[in-house]
Amino acid sequence: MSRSLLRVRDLSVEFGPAGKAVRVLDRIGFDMAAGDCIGIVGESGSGKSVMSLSLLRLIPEPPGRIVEGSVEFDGVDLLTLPASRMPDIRGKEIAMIFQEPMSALNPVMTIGEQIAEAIFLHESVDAAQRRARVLEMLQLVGIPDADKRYDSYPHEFSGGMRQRVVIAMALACNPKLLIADEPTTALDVTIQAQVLELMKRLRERYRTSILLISHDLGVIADVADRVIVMYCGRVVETAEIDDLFDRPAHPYTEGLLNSIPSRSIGQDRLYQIPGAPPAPTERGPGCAFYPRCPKRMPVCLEKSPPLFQVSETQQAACFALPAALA
Amino acid sequence: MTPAAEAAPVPSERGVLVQIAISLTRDRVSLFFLLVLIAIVLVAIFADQIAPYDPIAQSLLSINLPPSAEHWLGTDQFGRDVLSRIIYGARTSLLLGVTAPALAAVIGTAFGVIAGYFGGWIDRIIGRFLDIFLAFPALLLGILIAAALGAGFWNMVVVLTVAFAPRFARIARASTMSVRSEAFIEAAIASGLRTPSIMLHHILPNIAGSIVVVLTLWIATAVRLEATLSFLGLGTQPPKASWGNIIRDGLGNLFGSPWPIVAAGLAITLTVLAFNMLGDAVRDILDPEARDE
Repeated sequence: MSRSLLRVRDLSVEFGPAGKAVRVLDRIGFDMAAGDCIGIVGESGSGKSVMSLSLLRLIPEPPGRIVEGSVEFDGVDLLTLPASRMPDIRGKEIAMIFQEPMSALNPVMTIGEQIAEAIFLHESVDAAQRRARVLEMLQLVGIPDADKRYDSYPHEFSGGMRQRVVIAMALACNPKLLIADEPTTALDVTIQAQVLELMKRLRERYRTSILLISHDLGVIADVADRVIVMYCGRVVETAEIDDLFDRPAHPYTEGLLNSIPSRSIGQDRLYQIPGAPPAPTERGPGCAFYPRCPKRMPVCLEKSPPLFQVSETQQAACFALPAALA
Repeated sequence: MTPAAEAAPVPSERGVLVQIAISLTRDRVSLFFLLVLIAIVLVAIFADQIAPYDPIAQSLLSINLPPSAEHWLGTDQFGRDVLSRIIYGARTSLLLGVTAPALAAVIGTAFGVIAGYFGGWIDRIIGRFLDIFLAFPALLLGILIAAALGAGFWNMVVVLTVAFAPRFARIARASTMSVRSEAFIEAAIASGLRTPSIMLHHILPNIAGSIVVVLTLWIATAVRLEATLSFLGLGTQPPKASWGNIIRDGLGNLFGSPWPIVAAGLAITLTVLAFNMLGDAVRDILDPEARDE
């Protein structure tokens, strides 16, 4: 692996007033090299979005609070950077695509202006250059008649087209890292495929690193080369995408894989992980997956399993692993 | 540079006001009231040229005359030409009617956007002050301040600005809070925009529609309040003409010579109506989604 672009260590986030705070992220850590595409998967409430937001220090404070950890980007710890420096990082170095394309655009601004705003913000270029760059971006993301569309308003676009505009905005300043938080969740499957195709193309062309957040393992398998599985605010498994599908190490990952419809063809009912994740307030000292786990053991109630090395590229947090038993 | 970019000349950005003006002329009702308003404004500006008589020249030989060829709207109890007084009154009424709400809109919106955007203790402090001001009816506050500062035009501007600003602040605050929670604000923060830019480029344009509509309503109210305060003797001081003190002066002889009151009443009504109608039209224009329909 080449030099790390992003090094996240022990990132912990709490929400709520001090004393009664609820830990939403618990000592998250991972590395990302330039050009990497990492998928983050987990169900609702697993902390995926909070994690992506806290990388850019975008979680609302209060009630949120980053209590410990470091987010080293290009050798600089973003968490110790003065807040006034963050706008220089946002959009220019690390860009973000949000979940709802329908509301991610300002309804009273033309789409051209919105993309231009991001460029103007971080680079000093004149109006003509700016327009040229915007048109180039619109063509890049596959919006036909870019010249005419420049002066269109968001409501004149369909959901898929808006998501393309959002991607164009995010890429306008050629960021090193693109965080895509459920970029295709609000889109139908054909548009989803197109948007994913677009992201893959952009990654090949500009070597942009992508952190793709999704609850859909299928989407992640399509784009990412490594996967981080999150459960209740913790990393429970990290692996190369093929290893994850072939040899899932954590019982939760196994459950997730078994719940993919195409993998349970021939069975009467789609597999479902029993139960629901515990609320952050109800978690004991043990493994958060304990109540739903088929491999649970007494030790799982006492303490939370750390990440064990399964292979050179795979780690999982489970006491039932051979690596843990040894 | 890409070929497409070379082919595309950069269009000169048409200002919002020009766009509003163009859109207004497309609708007949709006056009009518726009013309009415332009006429009133022109009358106010060129009062010196238009008015047939000096509005404060008294003549004991011609008091309480009915409309005639020499005095189109008759004369009042001092023998002053009513038409001339109405024309000069437009100047007073419009100047106040626009100045005070415009000042109030700027001040109120600034506080409202700040309160709505930041929330928390900033919002609570600004909110309490707004509550205090809003607890007074505008007219009562007007009478109080006018009584304290004394009557006169600029005191009336102060009175109405203070009375109106919290109303703009409240609208701006509520609109800002709803816009603040939109995803595009989060996206703007994530793309590196700083707070002042977000307020100016993303919040303001989205709340401008409601502010402008409220502004036109308060212009109408200001014209009315000017009339009311002048009527009560707290506003424009005689012999200077304003629509309010024309009515005040005419009240003594309502049945013998109703012309001044009717004329001034009609002038107030027409102005207020014109501003209200235009307010609605402007709101529709500023909303891109309503514009296409």
